[in-house]
Amino acid sequence: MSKKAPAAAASLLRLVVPAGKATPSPPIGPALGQRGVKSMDFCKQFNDRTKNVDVGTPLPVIITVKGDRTFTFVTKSPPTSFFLKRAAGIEKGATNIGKDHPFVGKVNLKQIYEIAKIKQADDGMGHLSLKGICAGVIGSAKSMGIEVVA
Amino acid sequence: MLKSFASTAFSGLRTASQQQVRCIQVSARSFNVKDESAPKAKRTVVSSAPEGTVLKGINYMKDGKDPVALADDAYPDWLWEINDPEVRNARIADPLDKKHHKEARRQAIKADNFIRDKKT
Repeated sequence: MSKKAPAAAASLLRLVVPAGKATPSPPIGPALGQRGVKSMDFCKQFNDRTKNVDVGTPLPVIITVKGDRTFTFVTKSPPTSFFLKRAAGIEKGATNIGKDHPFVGKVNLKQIYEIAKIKQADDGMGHLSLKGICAGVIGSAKSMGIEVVA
Repeated sequence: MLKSFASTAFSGLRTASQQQVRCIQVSARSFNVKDESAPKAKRTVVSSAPEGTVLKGINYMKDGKDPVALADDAYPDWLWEINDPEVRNARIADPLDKKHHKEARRQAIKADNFIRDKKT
């Protein structure tokens, strides 16, 4: 019937890829190559699927590689930290956070709400209320040293 | 036979008290007495982004634009409380709220771990 594990198993691969730009050797090439997938194929499909997205936007991708080396992938919304840095107008998050360290940026609740609305569209968020997602985004902001104001 | 019955009865007592606590929580929520009796407090929080402000950095599609802020009333009420530490602390202080028990449990675990660490 089925051979032993490697032939039948499907492996998942999680990467963050800039939209419209793919095939650099370091992130994608070796990761896909190890599983026997031609990175050029993935990159063409990925760039095609993300052609409506601003170039360079980091997009998490979940690639499912089946035993026969065919693959499918799902693209998700950009990381929350990406949104928060842009909304606060900063390049990097804080190195240190806490009561002895000043905030590095500011974001208001309406921006949080809009970010949460985008996140809600993701597959994994179906069971969460918008309020819950907002709370999560605020948590991310606090851990980056971004102050959340009304 | 009798001994095992006694032990199950005892453990039954323990879980019954836990169930009791859970029952109180459920019945308080389903009655919703608090919300009906107290008049809705007028929202004092005013957003720093008045209606019409462009919320920068949100849009990431080529053909899209950054969303524009709506009037404060257009957003759900919970949004203005979500970042309020007073609301959060009130929930933690309320013994009928799940948050209270989660926090109590968390502190108990911390204390327990502290004691365990001390021994080693």
